[in-house]
Amino acid sequence: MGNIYFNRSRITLSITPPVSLQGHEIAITEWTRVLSVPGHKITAFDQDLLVNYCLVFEEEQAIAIHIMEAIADMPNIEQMQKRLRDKRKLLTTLARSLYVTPPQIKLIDSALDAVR
Amino acid sequence: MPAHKPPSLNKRKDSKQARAARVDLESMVTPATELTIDPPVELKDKKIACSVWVRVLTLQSETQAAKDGAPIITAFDERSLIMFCKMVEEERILETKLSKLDKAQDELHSKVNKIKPTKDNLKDYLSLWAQFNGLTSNFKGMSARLDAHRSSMHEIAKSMYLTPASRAGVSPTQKEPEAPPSEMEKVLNG
Repeated sequence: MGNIYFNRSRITLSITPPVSLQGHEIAITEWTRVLSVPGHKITAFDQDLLVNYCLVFEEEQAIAIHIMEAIADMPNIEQMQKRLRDKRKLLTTLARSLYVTPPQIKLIDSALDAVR
Repeated sequence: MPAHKPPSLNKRKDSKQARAARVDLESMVTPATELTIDPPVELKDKKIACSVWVRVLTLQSETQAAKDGAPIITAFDERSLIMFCKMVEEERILETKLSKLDKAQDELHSKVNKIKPTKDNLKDYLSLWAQFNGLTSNFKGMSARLDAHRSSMHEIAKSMYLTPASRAGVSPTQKEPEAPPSEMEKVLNG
């Protein structure tokens, strides 16, 4: 009795993205994807964490694209790549906490390898 | 050994006696003062922080644990919850700043790319590149600051059981594929 009460909040997160994600198309897509996965463990308690995860996901993609597009003319490309690695580290930590995994990272990695 | 969780989050199959003893012990350190849904004065004028405070405590009041008089976030944790709420608001501000920097960086990059360096405009051209490099450094700095902020937020969220993994206790491990049956098993199972 009473051992899983905290997980059984009646309010579940809506698949409609919150206002804080307005204007962030990729983040909104990720929000919808994560909450569409059957059996996910995310509750309304985790809203802020999921918002962060989706924003970090969008930023990670943006940095990867920046690197791909500007690979030849960006003077401090190594620092940008370090930023990308750190971003992915945080993304993975958040994903683990949410019990989700970022599916796009491998795809972008292989695209980057192809450009190089 | 992992830290003990509040009884309401403990999924182990303990005996009734052990569970009752644990609940008794924990009720001794649960303050009678409860956190109210009204945000504290410290969050005055912080709209987003106030809304996070109200949302978290409203959700908590809906849990059976809170109805049984054993909420997870107690008055002892007021400081942590205030900090968490403030950090959510600060995160939104930093995120807006980063978006602006990103946009400015893109605009400047396309502007520089359009210019063809000649003898006459070389000075301006190099100055624009210097500006672009400065902007990129600012972007990286802001991005790192935002990530550090989110990382701290995540730590506080974990300490208040506001993440699925902290509530569940352990990360799920993937089930290993079953080994093919040995010859003996095949014989035994027909």
